[in-house]
Amino acid sequence: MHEISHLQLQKNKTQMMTLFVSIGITMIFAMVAMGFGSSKNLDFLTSMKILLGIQESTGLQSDILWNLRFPRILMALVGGAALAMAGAMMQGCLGNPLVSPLTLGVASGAALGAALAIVLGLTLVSIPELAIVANAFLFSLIVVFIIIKLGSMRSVSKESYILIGIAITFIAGAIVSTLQYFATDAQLSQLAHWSFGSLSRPNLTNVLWISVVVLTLFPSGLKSAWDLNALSIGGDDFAISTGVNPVKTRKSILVLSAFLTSVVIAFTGLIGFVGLAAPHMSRLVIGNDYRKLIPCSAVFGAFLTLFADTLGRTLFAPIVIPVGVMLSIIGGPFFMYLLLNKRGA
Amino acid sequence: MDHGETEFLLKLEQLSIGYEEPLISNISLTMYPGEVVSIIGASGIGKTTLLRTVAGLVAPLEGRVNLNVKKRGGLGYIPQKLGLVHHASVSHNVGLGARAGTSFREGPMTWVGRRNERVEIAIEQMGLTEKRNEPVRRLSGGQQKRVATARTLAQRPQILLADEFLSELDEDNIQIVVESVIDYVKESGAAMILVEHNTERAIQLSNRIFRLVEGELVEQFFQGGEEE
Ligand SMILES: Nc1ncnc2c1ncn2[C@@H]1O[C@H](COP(=O)(O)OP(=O)(O)OP(=O)(O)O)[C@@H](O)[C@H]1O
Ligand SMILES: [Mg+2]
Repeated sequence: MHEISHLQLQKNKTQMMTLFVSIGITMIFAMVAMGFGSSKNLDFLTSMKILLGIQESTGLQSDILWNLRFPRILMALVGGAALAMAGAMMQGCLGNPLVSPLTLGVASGAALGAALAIVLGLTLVSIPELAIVANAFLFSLIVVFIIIKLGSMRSVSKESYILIGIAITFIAGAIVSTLQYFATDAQLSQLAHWSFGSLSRPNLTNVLWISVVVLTLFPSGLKSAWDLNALSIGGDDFAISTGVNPVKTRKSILVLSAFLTSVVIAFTGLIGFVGLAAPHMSRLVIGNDYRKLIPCSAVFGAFLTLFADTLGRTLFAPIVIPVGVMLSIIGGPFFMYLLLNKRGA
Repeated sequence: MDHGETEFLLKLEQLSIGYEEPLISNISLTMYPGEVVSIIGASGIGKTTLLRTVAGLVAPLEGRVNLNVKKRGGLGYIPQKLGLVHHASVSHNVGLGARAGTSFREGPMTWVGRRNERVEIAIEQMGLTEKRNEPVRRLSGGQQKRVATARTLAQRPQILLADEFLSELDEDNIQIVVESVIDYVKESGAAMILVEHNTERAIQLSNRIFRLVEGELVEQFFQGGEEE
Protein backbone atom coordinates (compact mmCIF):
# COMPACT_ATOMS: atom_id res chain seq x y z
CA MET A 1 0.00 0.00 0.00
CA HIS A 2 2.76 2.40 0.92
CA GLU A 3 4.89 2.09 -2.17
CA ILE A 4 1.93 3.05 -4.31
CA SER A 5 0.57 5.62 -1.88
CA HIS A 6 1.35 8.61 -4.09
CA LEU A 7 -0.53 7.24 -7.07
CA GLN A 8 -3.29 6.13 -4.77
CA LEU A 9 -3.67 9.62 -3.31
CA GLN A 10 -3.87 11.12 -6.78
CA LYS A 11 -6.52 8.61 -7.75
CA ASN A 12 -8.49 9.26 -4.56
CA LYS A 13 -8.47 12.97 -5.34
CA THR A 14 -9.82 12.49 -8.86
CA GLN A 15 -12.50 10.15 -7.56
CA MET A 16 -13.61 12.58 -4.88
CA MET A 17 -13.73 15.34 -7.52
CA THR A 18 -15.87 13.12 -9.75
CA LEU A 19 -18.24 12.53 -6.87
CA PHE A 20 -18.56 16.23 -6.01
CA VAL A 21 -18.96 17.27 -9.63
CA SER A 22 -21.72 14.65 -10.05
CA ILE A 23 -23.50 15.99 -6.98
CA GLY A 24 -23.23 19.51 -8.40
CA ILE A 25 -24.53 18.53 -11.82
CA THR A 26 -27.41 16.64 -10.25
CA MET A 27 -28.40 19.62 -8.13
CA ILE A 28 -28.25 22.05 -11.04
CA PHE A 29 -30.22 19.64 -13.17
CA ALA A 30 -32.83 19.32 -10.42
CA MET A 31 -33.30 23.08 -10.52
CA VAL A 32 -33.55 23.09 -14.29
CA ALA A 33 -36.09 20.26 -14.11
CA MET A 34 -38.29 22.48 -11.92
CA GLY A 35 -38.72 24.63 -15.05
CA PHE A 36 -40.16 21.88 -17.22
CA GLY A 37 -43.85 21.22 -17.30
CA SER A 38 -46.95 21.43 -19.44
CA SER A 39 -48.66 24.30 -17.62
CA LYS A 40 -49.42 27.43 -19.69
CA ASN A 41 -49.22 29.59 -16.59
CA LEU A 42 -45.59 28.84 -15.92
CA ASP A 43 -42.93 28.72 -18.62
CA PHE A 44 -39.31 27.73 -18.13
CA LEU A 45 -37.87 31.24 -17.75
CA THR A 46 -40.52 32.34 -15.28
CA SER A 47 -39.89 29.23 -13.18
CA MET A 48 -36.17 29.96 -13.06
CA LYS A 49 -36.78 33.59 -12.13
CA ILE A 50 -39.10 32.56 -9.32
CA LEU A 51 -36.63 29.99 -8.03
CA LEU A 52 -33.79 32.51 -8.10
CA GLY A 53 -35.94 35.05 -6.31
CA ILE A 54 -35.92 37.51 -9.21
CA GLN A 55 -39.67 37.38 -9.70
CA GLU A 56 -42.65 37.06 -7.35
CA SER A 57 -44.90 34.07 -8.00
CA THR A 58 -48.67 33.99 -8.16
CA GLY A 59 -50.51 31.56 -5.93
CA LEU A 60 -51.12 29.20 -8.82
CA GLN A 61 -47.52 29.32 -9.95
CA SER A 62 -46.16 28.53 -6.54
CA ASP A 63 -48.70 25.76 -6.22
CA ILE A 64 -47.47 24.21 -9.47
CA LEU A 65 -43.85 24.59 -8.47
CA TRP A 66 -44.02 23.38 -4.90
CA ASN A 67 -46.93 20.97 -4.84
CA LEU A 68 -46.63 19.37 -8.26
CA ARG A 69 -43.10 19.62 -9.59
CA PHE A 70 -41.10 19.67 -6.38
CA PRO A 71 -42.48 16.43 -4.86
CA ARG A 72 -41.96 14.64 -8.13
CA ILE A 73 -38.37 15.84 -8.49
CA LEU A 74 -37.52 15.13 -4.87
CA MET A 75 -39.07 11.68 -5.25
CA ALA A 76 -36.88 11.06 -8.32
CA LEU A 77 -33.76 12.08 -6.42
CA VAL A 78 -34.50 10.25 -3.20
CA GLY A 79 -36.04 7.19 -4.87
CA GLY A 80 -33.24 6.87 -7.40
CA ALA A 81 -30.60 7.28 -4.72
CA ALA A 82 -32.23 4.73 -2.43
CA LEU A 83 -32.72 2.11 -5.15
CA ALA A 84 -29.19 2.53 -6.49
CA MET A 85 -27.68 2.30 -3.04
CA ALA A 86 -29.76 -0.77 -2.25
CA GLY A 87 -28.62 -2.29 -5.53
CA ALA A 88 -24.94 -1.70 -4.77
CA MET A 89 -25.30 -3.22 -1.31
CA MET A 90 -27.17 -6.27 -2.59
CA GLN A 91 -24.65 -6.88 -5.35
CA GLY A 92 -21.85 -6.65 -2.81
CA CYS A 93 -23.28 -8.88 -0.16
CA LEU A 94 -24.49 -11.56 -2.55
CA GLY A 95 -21.33 -11.35 -4.65
CA ASN A 96 -23.40 -11.26 -7.81
CA PRO A 97 -23.34 -8.46 -10.38
CA LEU A 98 -26.73 -9.39 -11.80
CA VAL A 99 -28.57 -8.77 -8.59
CA SER A 100 -30.77 -5.69 -8.33
CA PRO A 101 -32.96 -4.53 -5.47
CA LEU A 102 -35.88 -6.23 -7.15
CA THR A 103 -34.20 -9.62 -7.56
CA LEU A 104 -34.72 -10.85 -4.08
CA GLY A 105 -38.49 -10.98 -4.18
CA VAL A 106 -39.01 -7.46 -2.89
CA ALA A 107 -40.81 -6.52 -6.07
CA SER A 108 -42.96 -9.61 -6.24
CA GLY A 109 -43.87 -9.16 -2.59
CA ALA A 110 -44.89 -5.59 -3.25
CA ALA A 111 -46.89 -6.62 -6.33
CA LEU A 112 -48.61 -9.32 -4.32
CA GLY A 113 -49.51 -6.84 -1.59
CA ALA A 114 -50.86 -4.38 -4.12
CA ALA A 115 -52.87 -7.09 -5.92
CA LEU A 116 -54.41 -8.33 -2.69
CA ALA A 117 -55.45 -4.79 -1.82
CA ILE A 118 -56.80 -3.93 -5.27
CA VAL A 119 -58.56 -7.18 -6.15
CA LEU A 120 -59.65 -8.67 -2.84
CA GLY A 121 -59.69 -5.49 -0.78
CA LEU A 122 -57.51 -7.39 1.66
CA THR A 123 -55.55 -4.67 3.40
CA LEU A 124 -53.41 -4.46 6.49
CA VAL A 125 -54.06 -0.76 7.10
CA SER A 126 -57.52 0.74 7.12
CA ILE A 127 -56.66 4.24 5.82
CA PRO A 128 -57.97 4.11 2.23
CA GLU A 129 -55.33 6.37 0.62
CA LEU A 130 -52.53 4.36 2.16
CA ALA A 131 -54.02 0.87 1.84
CA ILE A 132 -52.16 -0.14 -1.33
CA VAL A 133 -48.93 1.50 -0.25
CA ALA A 134 -48.99 -0.17 3.15
CA ASN A 135 -49.82 -3.53 1.63
CA ALA A 136 -47.04 -3.29 -0.92
CA PHE A 137 -44.56 -2.25 1.75
CA LEU A 138 -45.49 -4.89 4.31
CA PHE A 139 -45.76 -7.76 1.85
CA SER A 140 -42.39 -7.01 0.32
CA LEU A 141 -40.85 -7.08 3.79
CA ILE A 142 -42.67 -10.31 4.64
CA VAL A 143 -41.33 -11.93 1.48
CA VAL A 144 -37.77 -10.80 2.23
CA PHE A 145 -38.11 -12.08 5.76
CA ILE A 146 -39.22 -15.50 4.47
CA ILE A 147 -36.33 -15.59 2.01
CA ILE A 148 -33.77 -14.76 4.67
CA LYS A 149 -35.24 -17.31 7.09
CA LEU A 150 -35.30 -20.09 4.49
CA GLY A 151 -31.99 -19.08 2.98
CA SER A 152 -30.16 -19.35 6.27
CA MET A 153 -31.88 -22.53 7.42
CA ARG A 154 -30.23 -25.27 5.46
CA SER A 155 -27.13 -23.70 4.05
CA VAL A 156 -25.23 -20.53 4.66
CA SER A 157 -24.22 -19.88 1.08
CA LYS A 158 -25.21 -16.68 -0.65
CA GLU A 159 -26.49 -18.64 -3.64
CA SER A 160 -29.26 -20.07 -1.49
CA TYR A 161 -30.70 -16.58 -0.99
CA ILE A 162 -30.78 -15.95 -4.71
CA LEU A 163 -32.32 -19.35 -5.52
CA ILE A 164 -34.98 -19.10 -2.84
CA GLY A 165 -35.63 -15.53 -3.99
CA ILE A 166 -36.30 -16.80 -7.49
CA ALA A 167 -38.59 -19.58 -6.24
CA ILE A 168 -40.60 -17.16 -4.09
CA THR A 169 -40.83 -14.72 -6.99
CA PHE A 170 -42.50 -17.44 -9.06
CA ILE A 171 -44.89 -18.37 -6.28
CA ALA A 172 -45.89 -14.75 -5.62
CA GLY A 173 -46.17 -14.18 -9.38
CA ALA A 174 -48.53 -17.14 -9.70
CA ILE A 175 -50.76 -15.79 -6.94
CA VAL A 176 -50.83 -12.37 -8.61
CA SER A 177 -51.76 -14.00 -11.94
CA THR A 178 -54.55 -15.93 -10.26
CA LEU A 179 -55.88 -12.73 -8.72
CA GLN A 180 -55.70 -11.01 -12.10
CA TYR A 181 -57.72 -13.84 -13.58
CA PHE A 182 -60.59 -13.07 -11.22
CA ALA A 183 -60.22 -9.30 -11.28
CA THR A 184 -62.64 -6.89 -12.95
CA ASP A 185 -61.42 -4.69 -15.80
CA ALA A 186 -61.19 -1.67 -13.54
CA GLN A 187 -59.11 -3.61 -11.02
CA LEU A 188 -56.89 -4.96 -13.78
CA SER A 189 -56.14 -1.52 -15.10
CA GLN A 190 -55.46 -0.21 -11.60
CA LEU A 191 -53.03 -3.09 -11.05
CA ALA A 192 -51.31 -2.53 -14.38
CA HIS A 193 -51.07 1.14 -13.59
CA TRP A 194 -49.52 0.36 -10.22
CA SER A 195 -46.87 -1.84 -11.73
CA PHE A 196 -45.63 0.91 -14.10
CA GLY A 197 -43.32 2.82 -11.83
CA SER A 198 -44.46 6.41 -11.58
CA LEU A 199 -43.16 9.32 -9.56
CA SER A 200 -46.35 11.34 -9.58
CA ARG A 201 -48.24 9.20 -7.11
CA PRO A 202 -46.74 10.23 -3.78
CA ASN A 203 -47.77 13.69 -2.56
CA LEU A 204 -45.52 16.20 -0.83
CA THR A 205 -46.08 14.77 2.63
CA ASN A 206 -45.36 11.23 1.40
CA VAL A 207 -42.19 12.35 -0.32
CA LEU A 208 -40.94 14.20 2.72
CA TRP A 209 -41.52 11.11 4.86
CA ILE A 210 -39.75 8.88 2.38
CA SER A 211 -36.85 11.32 2.32
CA VAL A 212 -36.58 11.28 6.09
CA VAL A 213 -36.52 7.47 6.14
CA VAL A 214 -33.96 7.22 3.34
CA LEU A 215 -31.71 9.87 4.88
CA THR A 216 -31.87 8.13 8.24
CA LEU A 217 -30.82 4.84 6.67
CA PHE A 218 -28.05 6.37 4.57
CA PRO A 219 -25.42 6.37 7.38
CA SER A 220 -26.09 2.68 8.07
CA GLY A 221 -25.45 2.03 4.41
CA LEU A 222 -22.16 3.88 4.60
CA LYS A 223 -21.27 2.07 7.79
CA SER A 224 -21.74 -1.25 6.06
CA ALA A 225 -19.20 -0.25 3.41
CA TRP A 226 -16.24 -1.81 5.21
CA ASP A 227 -18.06 -5.05 5.78
CA LEU A 228 -19.05 -5.09 2.12
CA ASN A 229 -15.44 -4.51 1.16
CA ALA A 230 -14.38 -7.46 3.28
CA LEU A 231 -17.10 -9.66 1.76
CA SER A 232 -16.37 -8.67 -1.81
CA ILE A 233 -12.56 -8.74 -1.64
CA GLY A 234 -12.15 -12.37 -0.72
CA GLY A 235 -15.48 -13.94 0.13
CA ASP A 236 -16.63 -15.39 3.41
CA ASP A 237 -13.33 -16.92 4.52
CA PHE A 238 -11.50 -13.64 4.04
CA ALA A 239 -14.25 -11.69 5.80
CA ILE A 240 -14.20 -13.85 8.90
CA SER A 241 -10.41 -13.69 9.09
CA THR A 242 -10.71 -9.91 9.31
CA GLY A 243 -13.34 -10.25 12.03
CA VAL A 244 -16.39 -9.57 9.86
CA ASN A 245 -19.09 -12.18 10.36
CA PRO A 246 -20.26 -12.85 6.80
CA VAL A 247 -23.55 -14.52 7.66
CA LYS A 248 -24.71 -11.82 10.07
CA THR A 249 -23.44 -9.05 7.83
CA ARG A 250 -25.22 -10.47 4.82
CA LYS A 251 -28.49 -10.72 6.68
CA SER A 252 -28.37 -7.20 8.04
CA ILE A 253 -27.37 -5.70 4.69
CA LEU A 254 -30.16 -7.61 2.94
CA VAL A 255 -32.68 -6.32 5.45
CA LEU A 256 -31.38 -2.77 5.09
CA SER A 257 -31.48 -2.76 1.30
CA ALA A 258 -34.85 -4.48 1.20
CA PHE A 259 -36.20 -1.84 3.55
CA LEU A 260 -34.81 1.00 1.41
CA THR A 261 -36.32 -0.58 -1.68
CA SER A 262 -39.76 -1.26 -0.21
CA VAL A 263 -40.12 2.23 1.19
CA VAL A 264 -39.65 3.61 -2.31
CA ILE A 265 -41.49 1.13 -4.51
CA ALA A 266 -44.49 0.94 -2.22
CA PHE A 267 -45.17 4.53 -3.27
CA THR A 268 -43.84 4.57 -6.81
CA GLY A 269 -44.56 1.08 -8.13
CA LEU A 270 -41.89 -0.95 -9.82
CA ILE A 271 -38.76 0.94 -10.77
CA GLY A 272 -36.06 -1.63 -11.30
CA PHE A 273 -33.38 -0.75 -13.76
CA VAL A 274 -31.75 2.06 -11.84
CA GLY A 275 -30.84 -0.33 -9.02
CA LEU A 276 -28.89 -2.47 -11.46
CA ALA A 277 -27.41 0.17 -13.74
CA ALA A 278 -26.38 2.95 -11.36
CA PRO A 279 -24.11 0.74 -9.23
CA HIS A 280 -22.43 -0.64 -12.36
CA MET A 281 -21.86 2.80 -13.83
CA SER A 282 -20.37 3.82 -10.50
CA ARG A 283 -18.08 0.79 -10.49
CA LEU A 284 -16.76 1.80 -13.89
CA VAL A 285 -16.15 5.36 -12.77
CA ILE A 286 -15.06 5.05 -9.16
CA GLY A 287 -14.01 1.44 -8.60
CA ASN A 288 -15.13 -1.26 -6.21
CA ASP A 289 -14.37 0.32 -2.85
CA TYR A 290 -17.79 0.44 -1.22
CA ARG A 291 -16.91 3.49 0.86
CA LYS A 292 -16.99 5.43 -2.42
CA LEU A 293 -19.24 3.13 -4.39
CA ILE A 294 -22.26 3.55 -2.12
CA PRO A 295 -22.38 7.37 -2.19
CA CYS A 296 -21.48 7.39 -5.88
CA SER A 297 -24.26 4.94 -6.73
CA ALA A 298 -26.69 7.08 -4.78
CA VAL A 299 -25.75 10.19 -6.76
CA PHE A 300 -25.80 8.41 -10.12
CA GLY A 301 -29.12 6.78 -9.26
CA ALA A 302 -30.63 10.13 -8.31
CA PHE A 303 -29.42 11.76 -11.52
CA LEU A 304 -30.42 8.90 -13.78
CA THR A 305 -33.94 8.71 -12.37
CA LEU A 306 -34.48 12.44 -12.50
CA PHE A 307 -33.12 12.64 -16.04
CA ALA A 308 -35.33 9.78 -17.22
CA ASP A 309 -38.41 11.21 -15.57
CA THR A 310 -37.84 14.72 -16.88
CA LEU A 311 -37.42 13.34 -20.37
CA GLY A 312 -40.47 11.14 -19.90
CA ARG A 313 -42.72 14.07 -19.04
CA THR A 314 -41.40 16.56 -21.62
CA LEU A 315 -40.64 14.45 -24.69
CA PHE A 316 -44.25 13.82 -25.71
CA ALA A 317 -45.95 16.32 -23.39
CA PRO A 318 -48.70 16.35 -22.33
CA ILE A 319 -48.40 12.55 -22.55
CA VAL A 320 -46.23 11.29 -19.72
CA ILE A 321 -44.15 8.16 -20.17
CA PRO A 322 -43.73 6.33 -16.83
CA VAL A 323 -40.27 6.69 -15.35
CA GLY A 324 -39.72 2.94 -15.13
CA VAL A 325 -40.18 2.61 -18.90
CA MET A 326 -38.08 5.69 -19.61
CA LEU A 327 -35.25 4.46 -17.43
CA SER A 328 -35.00 1.21 -19.32
CA ILE A 329 -35.23 2.91 -22.70
CA ILE A 330 -32.43 5.42 -22.16
CA GLY A 331 -30.54 3.63 -19.41
CA GLY A 332 -30.32 0.33 -21.23
CA PRO A 333 -28.36 1.45 -24.29
CA PHE A 334 -26.17 3.77 -22.21
CA PHE A 335 -25.40 0.95 -19.82
CA MET A 336 -24.52 -1.34 -22.71
CA TYR A 337 -22.28 1.32 -24.23
CA LEU A 338 -20.38 1.67 -20.95
CA LEU A 339 -19.93 -2.07 -20.57
CA LEU A 340 -18.79 -2.63 -24.14
CA ASN A 341 -16.43 0.32 -23.95
CA LYS A 342 -14.83 -1.10 -20.84
CA ARG A 343 -14.21 -4.43 -22.55
CA GLY A 344 -12.43 -2.66 -25.40
CA ALA A 345 -10.12 -0.73 -23.08
CA MET B 1 -12.84 -28.81 35.75
CA ASP B 2 -15.74 -27.35 37.71
CA HIS B 3 -16.97 -24.14 36.20
CA GLY B 4 -19.83 -23.50 38.60
CA GLU B 5 -21.46 -20.24 37.68
CA THR B 6 -19.11 -19.17 34.87
CA GLU B 7 -20.76 -18.77 31.52
CA PHE B 8 -19.55 -20.89 28.64
CA LEU B 9 -18.09 -19.16 25.60
CA LEU B 10 -18.60 -21.91 23.10
CA LYS B 11 -20.79 -24.97 23.05
CA LEU B 12 -20.92 -27.58 20.31
CA GLU B 13 -24.01 -29.76 20.67
CA GLN B 14 -24.07 -33.15 18.93
CA LEU B 15 -22.50 -31.53 15.97
CA SER B 16 -22.08 -33.37 12.71
CA ILE B 17 -19.77 -31.72 10.19
CA GLY B 18 -18.87 -32.21 6.54
CA TYR B 19 -19.70 -30.89 3.11
CA GLU B 20 -22.23 -33.39 1.84
CA GLU B 21 -21.31 -36.60 3.64
CA PRO B 22 -20.50 -36.25 7.34
CA LEU B 23 -16.77 -36.25 8.08
CA ILE B 24 -17.09 -36.22 11.86
CA SER B 25 -20.28 -36.87 13.83
CA ASN B 26 -21.57 -36.34 17.31
CA ILE B 27 -19.13 -33.65 18.42
CA SER B 28 -19.91 -32.21 21.83
CA LEU B 29 -17.63 -29.66 23.43
CA THR B 30 -18.10 -26.81 25.89
CA MET B 31 -15.42 -24.19 26.46
CA TYR B 32 -15.02 -21.62 29.22
CA PRO B 33 -13.00 -18.39 29.48
CA GLY B 34 -9.24 -18.86 29.49
CA GLU B 35 -9.34 -22.34 27.97
CA VAL B 36 -7.20 -23.60 25.12
CA VAL B 37 -8.24 -26.75 23.26
CA SER B 38 -6.10 -28.42 20.61
CA ILE B 39 -7.41 -30.49 17.75
CA ILE B 40 -5.06 -33.01 16.21
CA GLY B 41 -5.60 -35.58 13.48
CA ALA B 42 -4.45 -36.81 10.09
CA SER B 43 -4.40 -34.59 7.03
CA GLY B 44 -7.77 -34.40 5.29
CA ILE B 45 -9.68 -35.74 8.30
CA GLY B 46 -11.73 -32.55 8.78
CA LYS B 47 -9.86 -30.24 11.19
CA THR B 48 -10.23 -27.16 9.03
CA THR B 49 -13.83 -28.11 8.33
CA LEU B 50 -14.50 -28.20 12.08
CA LEU B 51 -13.09 -24.68 12.54
CA ARG B 52 -15.01 -23.38 9.54
CA THR B 53 -18.21 -24.87 10.93
CA VAL B 54 -17.61 -23.22 14.31
CA ALA B 55 -16.98 -19.94 12.46
CA GLY B 56 -20.29 -20.28 10.62
CA LEU B 57 -18.75 -20.65 7.16
CA VAL B 58 -20.11 -24.17 6.72
CA ALA B 59 -23.56 -25.14 7.96
CA PRO B 60 -23.60 -28.05 10.40
CA LEU B 61 -25.14 -31.23 8.98
CA GLU B 62 -26.68 -31.89 12.36
CA GLY B 63 -26.61 -30.33 15.81
CA ARG B 64 -25.68 -26.78 16.54
CA VAL B 65 -22.90 -24.33 17.28
CA ASN B 66 -23.64 -22.04 20.19
CA LEU B 67 -21.28 -19.07 20.46
CA ASN B 68 -21.61 -16.76 23.41
CA VAL B 69 -20.04 -13.71 21.81
CA LYS B 70 -21.74 -10.38 22.08
CA LYS B 71 -19.31 -7.78 20.87
CA ARG B 72 -18.45 -6.87 17.32
CA GLY B 73 -15.56 -8.92 16.01
CA GLY B 74 -15.97 -11.35 18.90
CA LEU B 75 -14.89 -14.29 16.78
CA GLY B 76 -11.29 -14.31 15.58
CA TYR B 77 -10.08 -16.73 12.94
CA ILE B 78 -6.51 -17.31 11.77
CA PRO B 79 -7.08 -19.44 8.67
CA GLN B 80 -4.71 -22.05 7.29
CA LYS B 81 -4.75 -20.19 3.98
CA LEU B 82 -4.02 -16.84 5.50
CA GLY B 83 -6.34 -14.54 3.60
CA LEU B 84 -4.10 -11.48 3.65
CA VAL B 85 -4.36 -8.54 1.26
CA HIS B 86 -1.07 -9.14 -0.52
CA HIS B 87 -0.52 -5.77 -2.13
CA ALA B 88 -1.28 -3.91 1.11
CA SER B 89 1.15 -3.19 3.93
CA VAL B 90 1.49 -5.16 7.13
CA SER B 91 -0.07 -2.37 9.17
CA HIS B 92 -2.98 -2.10 6.75
CA ASN B 93 -3.68 -5.82 7.12
CA VAL B 94 -3.43 -5.70 10.89
CA GLY B 95 -5.68 -2.64 10.84
CA LEU B 96 -8.50 -4.69 9.31
CA GLY B 97 -8.69 -6.75 12.49
CA ALA B 98 -8.54 -3.68 14.71
CA ARG B 99 -11.33 -2.13 12.69
CA ALA B 100 -13.61 -5.10 13.15
CA GLY B 101 -12.88 -5.30 16.86
CA THR B 102 -13.70 -1.69 17.71
CA SER B 103 -17.00 0.06 17.58
CA PHE B 104 -18.01 3.60 16.78
CA ARG B 105 -19.97 3.60 20.01
CA GLU B 106 -16.74 3.92 21.93
CA GLY B 107 -16.68 7.53 20.70
CA PRO B 108 -15.00 8.74 17.52
CA MET B 109 -11.69 9.82 19.03
CA THR B 110 -11.14 6.79 21.21
CA TRP B 111 -12.22 4.73 18.28
CA VAL B 112 -9.44 5.84 15.95
CA GLY B 113 -6.89 6.16 18.77
CA ARG B 114 -7.61 2.73 20.15
CA ARG B 115 -7.40 1.19 16.74
CA ASN B 116 -3.96 2.57 16.02
CA GLU B 117 -2.79 1.60 19.47
CA ARG B 118 -4.01 -1.96 18.98
CA VAL B 119 -2.33 -2.20 15.60
CA GLU B 120 1.01 -1.03 16.98
CA ILE B 121 0.89 -3.36 19.96
CA ALA B 122 0.02 -6.38 17.84
CA ILE B 123 2.72 -5.61 15.26
CA GLU B 124 5.29 -5.27 18.01
CA GLN B 125 4.20 -8.47 19.75
CA MET B 126 4.63 -10.38 16.53
CA GLY B 127 8.09 -8.88 15.97
CA LEU B 128 7.05 -7.18 12.75
CA THR B 129 7.90 -3.58 13.63
CA GLU B 130 10.59 -3.31 10.96
CA LYS B 131 8.26 -4.70 8.34
CA ARG B 132 5.22 -2.63 9.21
CA ASN B 133 5.23 -0.68 5.93
CA GLU B 134 6.22 -3.54 3.64
CA PRO B 135 3.61 -5.00 1.32
CA VAL B 136 2.67 -8.45 2.58
CA ARG B 137 3.64 -10.19 -0.65
CA ARG B 138 7.29 -9.37 0.06
CA LEU B 139 7.21 -11.25 3.36
CA SER B 140 8.30 -14.83 3.99
CA GLY B 141 5.77 -17.57 4.75
CA GLY B 142 6.49 -17.42 8.48
CA GLN B 143 6.27 -13.64 8.53
CA GLN B 144 2.92 -13.80 6.78
CA LYS B 145 1.67 -16.22 9.42
CA ARG B 146 2.64 -13.65 12.02
CA VAL B 147 0.78 -10.89 10.15
CA ALA B 148 -2.38 -12.99 10.22
CA THR B 149 -1.86 -13.63 13.93
CA ALA B 150 -1.30 -9.92 14.60
CA ARG B 151 -4.47 -9.09 12.70
CA THR B 152 -6.51 -11.39 14.91
CA LEU B 153 -4.83 -10.17 18.12
CA ALA B 154 -5.63 -6.57 17.15
CA GLN B 155 -9.24 -7.63 16.84
CA ARG B 156 -9.27 -8.79 20.52
CA PRO B 157 -11.68 -11.67 19.94
CA GLN B 158 -13.47 -13.57 22.69
CA ILE B 159 -13.19 -16.81 20.76
CA LEU B 160 -10.04 -17.50 18.80
CA LEU B 161 -9.77 -20.19 16.15
CA ALA B 162 -6.28 -20.85 14.82
CA ASP B 163 -5.56 -23.27 12.00
CA GLU B 164 -1.91 -24.42 12.08
CA PHE B 165 -0.77 -20.88 12.77
CA LEU B 166 2.66 -22.01 14.00
CA SER B 167 3.73 -24.00 10.97
CA GLU B 168 6.53 -22.43 8.92
CA LEU B 169 7.83 -20.64 12.03
CA ASP B 170 11.28 -21.35 13.52
CA GLU B 171 11.72 -22.22 17.22
CA ASP B 172 12.49 -18.64 18.34
CA ASN B 173 9.48 -17.20 16.60
CA ILE B 174 7.23 -19.96 17.85
CA GLN B 175 8.11 -19.01 21.42
CA ILE B 176 7.38 -15.31 20.77
CA VAL B 177 4.07 -15.98 19.05
CA VAL B 178 2.89 -18.63 21.49
CA GLU B 179 3.64 -16.46 24.48
CA SER B 180 1.68 -13.45 23.15
CA VAL B 181 -1.29 -15.47 22.04
CA ILE B 182 -1.58 -17.64 25.15
CA ASP B 183 -1.07 -14.59 27.37
CA TYR B 184 -3.85 -12.85 25.50
CA VAL B 185 -6.21 -15.79 25.97
CA LYS B 186 -5.49 -16.09 29.70
CA GLU B 187 -5.62 -12.37 30.42
CA SER B 188 -8.72 -11.53 28.44
CA GLY B 189 -10.58 -14.70 29.35
CA ALA B 190 -10.99 -15.72 25.74
CA ALA B 191 -11.33 -19.32 24.55
CA MET B 192 -9.09 -20.75 21.87
CA ILE B 193 -9.35 -23.74 19.55
CA LEU B 194 -6.09 -24.61 17.95
CA VAL B 195 -5.46 -27.02 15.10
CA GLU B 196 -1.94 -28.32 15.51
CA HIS B 197 -0.16 -31.10 13.68
CA ASN B 198 2.65 -31.23 16.22
CA THR B 199 1.38 -33.28 19.19
CA GLU B 200 4.13 -32.16 21.58
CA ARG B 201 3.34 -28.53 20.92
CA ALA B 202 -0.36 -29.22 21.40
CA ILE B 203 0.42 -30.74 24.81
CA GLN B 204 2.53 -27.75 25.74
CA LEU B 205 -0.11 -25.19 24.73
CA SER B 206 -3.48 -26.51 25.69
CA ASN B 207 -5.71 -27.53 28.56
CA ARG B 208 -7.36 -30.29 26.61
CA ILE B 209 -6.51 -32.18 23.45
CA PHE B 210 -8.88 -33.91 21.06
CA ARG B 211 -8.04 -36.19 18.19
CA LEU B 212 -10.21 -36.53 15.12
CA VAL B 213 -10.21 -40.21 14.27
CA GLU B 214 -12.60 -42.59 12.50
CA GLY B 215 -15.37 -40.02 12.23
CA GLU B 216 -15.26 -39.05 15.88
CA LEU B 217 -13.79 -36.44 18.20
CA VAL B 218 -11.94 -38.27 20.97
CA GLU B 219 -10.37 -36.60 23.98
CA GLN B 220 -6.72 -37.61 24.53
CA PHE B 221 -4.98 -37.80 27.89
CA PHE B 222 -1.23 -37.47 28.15
CA GLN B 223 1.15 -37.76 31.04
CA GLY B 224 4.60 -36.26 30.79
CA GLY B 225 4.30 -36.02 27.05
CA GLU B 226 3.43 -39.72 26.62
CA GLU B 227 0.03 -41.01 25.67
CA GLU B 228 -1.58 -42.85 28.57
N1 LIG C 1 -15.11 -26.62 0.18
C1 LIG C 1 -15.11 -27.97 0.21
N2 LIG C 1 -16.08 -28.66 -0.41
C2 LIG C 1 -16.10 -30.01 -0.40
N3 LIG C 1 -15.20 -30.76 0.23
C3 LIG C 1 -14.20 -30.16 0.89
C4 LIG C 1 -14.10 -28.71 0.92
N4 LIG C 1 -13.02 -28.38 1.65
C5 LIG C 1 -12.47 -29.54 2.05
N5 LIG C 1 -13.17 -30.61 1.61
C6 LIG C 1 -12.87 -32.03 1.89
O1 LIG C 1 -13.15 -32.28 3.26
C7 LIG C 1 -12.17 -33.14 3.82
C8 LIG C 1 -11.59 -32.48 5.07
O2 LIG C 1 -10.84 -31.33 4.72
P1 LIG C 1 -10.16 -30.41 5.80
O3 LIG C 1 -9.61 -29.23 5.08
O4 LIG C 1 -11.13 -30.16 6.89
O5 LIG C 1 -8.97 -31.33 6.33
P2 LIG C 1 -7.85 -31.01 7.42
O6 LIG C 1 -8.05 -31.98 8.51
O7 LIG C 1 -7.86 -29.57 7.78
O8 LIG C 1 -6.53 -31.35 6.62
P3 LIG C 1 -5.06 -30.66 6.66
O9 LIG C 1 -4.40 -31.14 7.90
O10 LIG C 1 -4.41 -31.18 5.43
O11 LIG C 1 -5.28 -29.19 6.62
C9 LIG C 1 -11.14 -33.39 2.72
O12 LIG C 1 -11.39 -34.67 2.19
C10 LIG C 1 -11.41 -32.34 1.69
O13 LIG C 1 -11.18 -32.83 0.41
MG1 LIG D 1 -6.62 -27.99 7.43
